[in-house]
Amino acid sequence: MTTASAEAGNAEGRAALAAALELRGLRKSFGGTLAVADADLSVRRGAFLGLVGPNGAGKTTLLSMATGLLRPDSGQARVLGHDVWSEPGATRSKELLGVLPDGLALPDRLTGRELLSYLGLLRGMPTALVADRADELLRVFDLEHAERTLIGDYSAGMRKKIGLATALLHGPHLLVLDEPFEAVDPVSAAVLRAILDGFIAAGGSIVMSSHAMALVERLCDHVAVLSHGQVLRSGTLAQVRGGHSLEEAFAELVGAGPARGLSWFAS
Amino acid sequence: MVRLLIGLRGAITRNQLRQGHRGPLIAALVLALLSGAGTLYLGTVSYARPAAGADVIALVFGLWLGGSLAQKALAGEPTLRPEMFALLPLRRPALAAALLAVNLADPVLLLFLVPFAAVIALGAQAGAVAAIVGVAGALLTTVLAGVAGTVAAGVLGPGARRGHDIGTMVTALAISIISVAGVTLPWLVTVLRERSAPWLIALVRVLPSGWAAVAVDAAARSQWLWAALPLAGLAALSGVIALTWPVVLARRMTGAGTPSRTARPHAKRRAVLPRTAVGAVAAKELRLWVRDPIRLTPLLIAVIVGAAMCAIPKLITGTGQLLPFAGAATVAIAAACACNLYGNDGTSLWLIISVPGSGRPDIRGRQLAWLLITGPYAVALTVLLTALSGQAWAWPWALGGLAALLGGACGLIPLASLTWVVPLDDAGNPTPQYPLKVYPTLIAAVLTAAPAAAVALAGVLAGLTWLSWLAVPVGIATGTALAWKLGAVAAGRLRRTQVTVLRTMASAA
Repeated sequence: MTTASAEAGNAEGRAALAAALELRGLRKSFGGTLAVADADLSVRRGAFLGLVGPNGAGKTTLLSMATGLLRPDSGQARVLGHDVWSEPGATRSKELLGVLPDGLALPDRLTGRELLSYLGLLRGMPTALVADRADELLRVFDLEHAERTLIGDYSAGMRKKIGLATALLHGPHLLVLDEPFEAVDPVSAAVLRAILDGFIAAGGSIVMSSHAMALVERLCDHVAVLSHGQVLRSGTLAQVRGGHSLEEAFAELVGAGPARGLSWFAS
Repeated sequence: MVRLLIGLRGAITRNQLRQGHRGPLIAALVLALLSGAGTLYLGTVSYARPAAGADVIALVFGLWLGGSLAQKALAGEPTLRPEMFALLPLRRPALAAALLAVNLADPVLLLFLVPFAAVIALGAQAGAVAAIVGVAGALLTTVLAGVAGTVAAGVLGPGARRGHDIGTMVTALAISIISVAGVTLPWLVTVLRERSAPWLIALVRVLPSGWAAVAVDAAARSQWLWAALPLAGLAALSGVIALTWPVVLARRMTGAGTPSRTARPHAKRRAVLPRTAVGAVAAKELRLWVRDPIRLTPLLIAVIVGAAMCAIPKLITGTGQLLPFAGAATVAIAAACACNLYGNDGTSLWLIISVPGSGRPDIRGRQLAWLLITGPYAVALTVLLTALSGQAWAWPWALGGLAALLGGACGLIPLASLTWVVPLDDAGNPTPQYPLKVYPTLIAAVLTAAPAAAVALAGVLAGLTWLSWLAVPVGIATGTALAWKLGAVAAGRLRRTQVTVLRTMASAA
């Protein structure tokens, strides 16, 4: 065995034992504002982790750094043992990742099928495989009826669904989904839950951010709570809840005060 | 409400200025003021015949008014979009009146008074009364620009979605006519001063943009009825257009007339491009060039201006020397307009970042698509017009220059698109920074033809036909080399800067 192939073999060996996602000391500030402060998080293989936190907690920033879309000021992100921010790990990690970012655009003037076909071929997938998977994804997400509609004319829910389809197209091992259920109708949400359950059952891992505590409790087996850019607690659902509901545990962790109505309602 | 809306517009504009670069805006302002001063100067010049001054000013006012309308139709409402007020319990006519008043109080509109004051200067040459008629004409033309601009933005602007898609053709046509007229302005002014084209005089006088000048011309000759009629016409036209504004506003705010855009089904279409990563990018790019008004508009302008610039001298004076270069001119303009592709695509760059190794295919696919869009047309136009012109000397110049330009532009486009990436504004339109990228790219594109042109020139100077013909292989060689090398440089730059560019786009979104 040559030195290079031995190193590659060792890297694969380490990767085989590594966590699905490993974040170490990730830090990011914008101007003078610290968005993520030395965040650590480890997601084991086969886990379905729900990332929860109040608005502005840094969830999107953290997930963007974890997926190679936003360069951290410091810290490390590894996907199945491969460093997201340096080669050769960056290439391998992107092959293994499926990403649904929040707030980033898709090409408005393509149809859903055109987008999937473009991305599949760009990833070097065989033409027939791309066509088959695009067919199935469009059918499963109920986007077949919009065959001729441009993505720019999709509803918010349809955009979310085609975004999920792009994340799933190449058969990733780790899905990182930022608010995947936002604006998705109940029927499509059920379909999406079934897809995500199937993905976990097949050995995949998922990190999902969400504001819906009930959904996280129902779907996820692991939870991480993020506030002011720091991971306050992470672990299994039971560990994080500590005998309460997730919503109660979350409110206690982030220090939310009692909810009050508006002053003029009382008059 | 008007004062409140003016305050709101001021606050939004201040925030936009705080976020963006002020330099390009100041540069645009200085350019506009210089152009305005140039127009004003035309009013102070003494003409051999007084009527000629009115004709010249009528023509230039047409460019100002047409340019303003085209800009409004393309850009729409940069700050106060009608949709912002859709949920407020405001009476529609009151809102329409308030928005119109706010637009008429736009400081940008006040800038128009500088060029439009040319009619005052022209009138002053004849006397105080003609100058007063000029004041009325300048004010009424400014009001017309404000009212018509408001309605044009409402009907054809980006907020009108479907209307904007259809309006792309209209806007492209308008900008093209103005560009051609702008380029040929010195010649047109000469024609008007010499009265050698009566149809042109009739045209500039019959258009509303010329009515102020016509009124001043009549006042100078004490023909008071003919001085009053055009002014009354300007006021009436503004009034009629203003009456349509509430209707346009209502359609905008209720979303009427905005059916979904659809793409033609393609399942049965045979794939022409290779089913590879480069082919996939090229196919995506070809669709965007055809479907996206931000891309299609400049492409249409390039086609119209490129052909017209070279054909008009032939049509008017019989001078056909420029005909062989219409294809090359089209390519240079199209290249310059494609200098900000990554800025136009916005945050969808994340798709490229997420797919490992997709940087190089993205660059090559974009080059291929642009070449497929412009190349066959430019080659056919060059061959056709060179043959029609009957100028045998021009063949090596035209073919060599075109080959060099096509390749050079293919290399420049991705590189320029990754150099100072400028995001679109909130309404999805190019910002004032865009032209500041277009002109350097245009110059750089033209310069890529320099080696081929030098060889053709050497052949002419030496009297050696074969040497002139050497310009063709030289053009092909430099074009191929530049397309390849600059594309490779762009691919490296994309790999290094893609995350930073995405951050820039996301911050602007």
